[in-house]
Amino acid sequence: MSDDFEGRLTAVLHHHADRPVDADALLAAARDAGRARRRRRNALAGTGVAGVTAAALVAVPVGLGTLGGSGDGVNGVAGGQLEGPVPAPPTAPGAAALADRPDLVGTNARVVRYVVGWAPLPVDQLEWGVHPGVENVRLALTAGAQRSVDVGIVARTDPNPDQLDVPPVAGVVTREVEVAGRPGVLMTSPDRLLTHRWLFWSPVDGVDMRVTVTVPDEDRAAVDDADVVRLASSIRLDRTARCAAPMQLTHRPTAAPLTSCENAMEVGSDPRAVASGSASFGEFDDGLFVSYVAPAIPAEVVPTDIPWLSADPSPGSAPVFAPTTGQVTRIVGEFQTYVSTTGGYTEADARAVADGLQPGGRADELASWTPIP
Amino acid sequence: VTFEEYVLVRGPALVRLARLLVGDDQLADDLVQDVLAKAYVRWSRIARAEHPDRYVRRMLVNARNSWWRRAVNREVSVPVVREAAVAAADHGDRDALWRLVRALPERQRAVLVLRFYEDLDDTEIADILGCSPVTVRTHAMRGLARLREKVGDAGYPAIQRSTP
Repeated sequence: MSDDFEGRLTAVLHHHADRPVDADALLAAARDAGRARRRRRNALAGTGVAGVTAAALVAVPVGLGTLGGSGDGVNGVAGGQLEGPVPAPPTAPGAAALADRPDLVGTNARVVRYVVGWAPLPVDQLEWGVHPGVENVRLALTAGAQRSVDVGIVARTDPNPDQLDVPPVAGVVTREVEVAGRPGVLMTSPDRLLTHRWLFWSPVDGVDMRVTVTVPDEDRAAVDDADVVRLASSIRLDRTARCAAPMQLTHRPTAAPLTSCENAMEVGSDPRAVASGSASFGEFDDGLFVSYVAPAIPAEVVPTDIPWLSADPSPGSAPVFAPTTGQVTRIVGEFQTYVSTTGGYTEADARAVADGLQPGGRADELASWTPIP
Repeated sequence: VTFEEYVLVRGPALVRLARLLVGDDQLADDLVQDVLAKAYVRWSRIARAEHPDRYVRRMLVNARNSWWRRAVNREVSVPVVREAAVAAADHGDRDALWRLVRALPERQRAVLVLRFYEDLDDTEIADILGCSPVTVRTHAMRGLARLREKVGDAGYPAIQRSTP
């Protein structure tokens, strides 16, 4: 009876599960819920900092200069014609840009070897980061009154065949385009709730890049194919961005190298959050993870109905809150920081790193951010 | 892989898995949405995992366990098992067996779903559930035994054995 029974059990499970799922609706709902979750977290950390954000809006272009309008870039974007310049992250002095050393893409978590110069809509959030083998930039754009358009840019030298580059969405339209003089392929999906565009090209030999743009149906007209090509063409291959944080990491795990880094700047309509980021040391399952968000949580405004946040009983560390066991949080200057561990690293390791975090810059002055060691 | 790409490709499979774990389409949708919202916030970290999909499925299974207790509180009790057995006897079809599956303890049910629906081996299941392969085999053995206890050779539930 065994084989027959197990076969029948398998059939029963498939019978009760295998019905169609609207992936677009799921994505839209999950993304909205994820954004709401992020906003709640940022709001918790950022009460009453509208002034700081306003300063950040000024500091980004003034302190470091916008990249979109220079017109002297590798990709030849004309100066003065860019309607949506992208704020510039802090540069990585002395580091080779992608145009000079394409072979180094994704090899150093401290350096992104390109920057984005233009976006078709106002930029609400800018993220940049490095993971092993991959350098990425993400933009959240505002269409109408809402932040709704996601843009992801990825550069890598060794495309992983297992990567899910293009979902198997039915009816994808493919056409050839030119990106800064290089051939590219633009794919557009005609989905009902979201319009997806993927643009693939090789800006220099040995490096593959991809731009992904997702637009909800209600804002479909806000971005077209030409916008995606123009955004890709605005990418500056002669500029760099550094992994940095507005604080100093004075103690880090000696045996675990920096393996990935993410930085994000809120530059748009959300008046509560200014900056956030993370640095990972070691492996995913055996390492230490540091993240931060500015500014810190005033103890008196910490709500009591958030299950993942509770007071940390550690003496002498007020105001400190522990999201879950095994994680440590600290107030460092204007930042709330989180340190967590996996594998062989312990909560004591997390506390040692957290204790070593020192103020080292201002959230609204990107040039003051300290490189991650 | 971006969050959007992941959800478009793997989201439907997560929903189908959730349907089997919670036994209710609406609750499954809610559970997956909740898990993906958590994943969205930390996607940059998840994406660099060796097996992002396995990590998200682990989130899903773990969330099912805690979320189910907290938000739904519909843990199956002995009377429900008896009810399922009676219903199974009435119909003698795959719905009857499904009711018995739903009546299994959560870990046994999760193991059987991951083994017979997701077609994962014991090591993969152990990784998702956060236990050893030996524990997986134990849950599988007990789950199957519990189902067989209610199902006769002809495939019909034996309510005489399950009703006092």
